[in-house]
Amino acid sequence: MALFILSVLGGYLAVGVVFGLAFVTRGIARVDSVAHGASVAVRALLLPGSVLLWPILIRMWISALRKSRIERQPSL
Amino acid sequence: MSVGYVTVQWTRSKRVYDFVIAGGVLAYLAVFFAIGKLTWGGQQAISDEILLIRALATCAITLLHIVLCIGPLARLSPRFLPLLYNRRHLGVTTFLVAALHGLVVLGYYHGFGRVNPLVSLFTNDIDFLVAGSLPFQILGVAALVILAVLAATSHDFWLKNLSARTWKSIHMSVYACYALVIAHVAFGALQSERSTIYPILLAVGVTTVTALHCAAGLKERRIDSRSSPAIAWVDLGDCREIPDGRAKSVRVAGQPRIAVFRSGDCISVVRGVCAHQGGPLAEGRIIDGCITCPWHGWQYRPADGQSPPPFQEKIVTYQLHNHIGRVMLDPAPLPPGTHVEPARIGSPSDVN
Repeated sequence: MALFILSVLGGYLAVGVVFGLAFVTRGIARVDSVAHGASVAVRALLLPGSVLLWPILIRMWISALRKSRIERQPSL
Repeated sequence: MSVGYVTVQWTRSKRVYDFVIAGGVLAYLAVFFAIGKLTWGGQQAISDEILLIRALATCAITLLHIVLCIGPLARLSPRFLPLLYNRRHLGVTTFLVAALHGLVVLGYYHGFGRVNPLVSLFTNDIDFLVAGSLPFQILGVAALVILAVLAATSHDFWLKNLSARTWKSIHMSVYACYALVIAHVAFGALQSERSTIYPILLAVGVTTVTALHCAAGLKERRIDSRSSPAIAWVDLGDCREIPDGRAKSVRVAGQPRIAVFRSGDCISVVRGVCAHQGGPLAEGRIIDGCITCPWHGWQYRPADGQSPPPFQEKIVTYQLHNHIGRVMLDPAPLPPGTHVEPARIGSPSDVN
């Protein structure tokens, strides 16, 4: 049981690390325009939170992408 | 304020604050180690690792108590407000010390067997559970996870993007963390401790935190009970009583707290809640012509509630007018950032 719980937690964190790295390098400026051009130190500081909260951030990133796609569509 | 994110918005006072935190933690660990060596000598001697585990544990729990006491202390007396300015660094330090405690425990008690240390940590506690005791190590892990989330989301980026309400809700879990820590100590270290000093210190800590929160809550309740009913215009009382550059808090039924600021003979009124972390603006003052939040120094112009350029934050303002030398307030909030001509103390009526 303990091994199962630890495996689930490990999997969650492993996905979080991969997502977190992608988020702090690319996604952060999509989600929040103020973060555009943020320094490496700021991105590193936001990495632990991105690893822990990746399910929330995925939704935010997807909705930011959808919003920018709608804005780019030419109006008829 | 949101013109661009930086790691830390350093000021001289923040550097001093951090220096005191770091120096205080190192001094505490050194003193605990020295006293521990003297106290537990001879046949009762304990290893350096166990001494380090105890030093880090007591340091972390002391820091957590300080973190929890700062909020109510600042509400009870403005003298404690400077402690609030950089409280998040104190919280992050608490997490780092607690994490170090956890790592040393993991290595010392679970790192020398054939079983994975993390598996050992959880299964060991389950054995305790069978024996009829609470799994105190798991309680400690749960508290550490909460502290990790709080530390990881302490940057302004999270406050803005998770929304102030969600962010505040997440950070209120510090009280759940505190309960877990108390249970972790009570069902762990205190079970094997013969000295009465640790239970007494823990009881004093819990009582202090509880009493301060109750006292601050009662003070808030007293202020709220003095609220005026929501009528067309509210008399703000004698505004000459407000010291220049300071404010008083006014409560109108059905409204969040309102801050009445005086700058010379001018009176401006804004919603008394900072757009950053909900800090009490009425406890702030006017610096460089701007209302300055006592918590983190966010600023707003008194006349329109807007942060000075290039910042973009806005807070609600309220319509004012003079009536027979009194300043009257329309409690209906105006859209954030709306310019309102300040009322002048002692001016005659400007409307009929």
